[in-house]
Amino acid sequence: MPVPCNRCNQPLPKWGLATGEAVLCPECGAASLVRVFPALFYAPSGPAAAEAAEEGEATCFDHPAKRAVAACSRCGRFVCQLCEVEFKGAVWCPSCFTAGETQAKTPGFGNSRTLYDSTALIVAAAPLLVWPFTAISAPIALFLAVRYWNRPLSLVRRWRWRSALAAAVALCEIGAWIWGITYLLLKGRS
Amino acid sequence: MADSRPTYTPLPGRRRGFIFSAGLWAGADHLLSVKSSRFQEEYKRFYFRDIQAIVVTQVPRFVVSAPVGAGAAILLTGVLILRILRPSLDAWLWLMLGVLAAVWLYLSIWESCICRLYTAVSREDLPSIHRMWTARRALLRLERRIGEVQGVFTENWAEAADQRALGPPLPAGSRAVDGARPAAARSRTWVSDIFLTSLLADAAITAFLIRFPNSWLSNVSVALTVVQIASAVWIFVQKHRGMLRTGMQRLAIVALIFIGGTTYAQMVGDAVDTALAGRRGPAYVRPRARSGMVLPIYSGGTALLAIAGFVLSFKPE
Repeated sequence: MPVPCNRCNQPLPKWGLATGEAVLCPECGAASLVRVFPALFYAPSGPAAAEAAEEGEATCFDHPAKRAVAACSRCGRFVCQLCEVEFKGAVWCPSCFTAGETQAKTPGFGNSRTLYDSTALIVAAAPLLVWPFTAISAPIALFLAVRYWNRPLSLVRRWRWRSALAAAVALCEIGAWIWGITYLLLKGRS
Repeated sequence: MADSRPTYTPLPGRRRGFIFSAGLWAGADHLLSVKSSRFQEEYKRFYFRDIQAIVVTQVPRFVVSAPVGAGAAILLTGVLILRILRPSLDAWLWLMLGVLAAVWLYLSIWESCICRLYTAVSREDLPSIHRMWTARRALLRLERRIGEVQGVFTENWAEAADQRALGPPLPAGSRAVDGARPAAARSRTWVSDIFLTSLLADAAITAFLIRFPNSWLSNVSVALTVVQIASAVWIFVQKHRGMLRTGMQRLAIVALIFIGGTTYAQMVGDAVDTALAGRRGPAYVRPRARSGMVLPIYSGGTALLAIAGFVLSFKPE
């Protein structure tokens, strides 16, 4: 199976691939940059059904003698037929499947993270457009910012400025409400 | 305590949207693709030792493709008809067209390339790489990292690559990559037959109306125009599905533009007539029936289009 064009899935000409420059698709005319790596030649060369891996084939992470049939949707490790666990429409490796609920406690692992800092900031800032809602949203934003302060952030972002800003905005909003209510009460009395 | 979290370095390319964003990061032994939706981030890891190929394909920008052109023609026709029927909506209709034009402009500048990564068992798009110049920079860095793990080719791989399986097998229903062309499109379908028959019938009725004006037949002509628009849209769908040849689609586009053009000409003609008559106040616009010079033009045009369509239909496949 030759290298396909990303637009039309038709094979790109191999003489073009050999040059290393942009290749024009003979079907749709789109130019493609193709980089092929030696791992291509480790893969099975046909739809062989045998489970045992042959020389140079992609193998299971836990069973190096067995052929890989899928990649774990969570950690990306290759799994063989034996290790492949299908759950909620995704393929899992046994260790990720076992880890399950503990993913939040395992730094650097997992396939998704809830961004509590961004959520807190949105909850604090967005209702400013319709300010009466800040009476409800400000305490929620403050709760989110404080409650999840120690939760691991994004795998690739490290700064907690969103949480800090959300807490600051929420405090300002709460302060404004307290000041406003106090002012109205005092004005009503006098 | 030492931080056990993996360290990632950003790779060139980052997609930032109002809600969704994406990025690409390099870890010690893997590539991390991050897709974010403000409230949640999703990660996909590709180990450097498993990456088989990366293909970056340039996509054309500011293109008025056949479906976009057809859509624009239909909309313009609709707007012109609505302008006649409901003149009060004029400003709103132009505003809608302006918004649609802005959407087209936005989609045109959205991306200039598609980047896809292959491993033996997966095929993933990398949305963060959406500009060619960024793709070149990212590829340069990725090549170096992958080369450190996998080594480099010592001989020409292009010939041998033809015999190898790149990525997992394509899902059923998608177009094959083994060089096989999709099933040949046909010259005619039942939809194209309806389209051409309605064109021919409309031409005949309009020709009859030139000599013998009749309100009932005028309504039939309008109904046939609606059939033409609907079947033209369905022709685009059939062409998109590979069932119909390009020729019929082009004919449908020309027909839609022609219908829109004659409707507009009718409107302008009525306005000129009113002005020449010296009447003041709002111009009277005939909302349905074609009249005056437009009738023979419309009749002749639709007849020609129908004949051209039948020639295309019976052209050998």
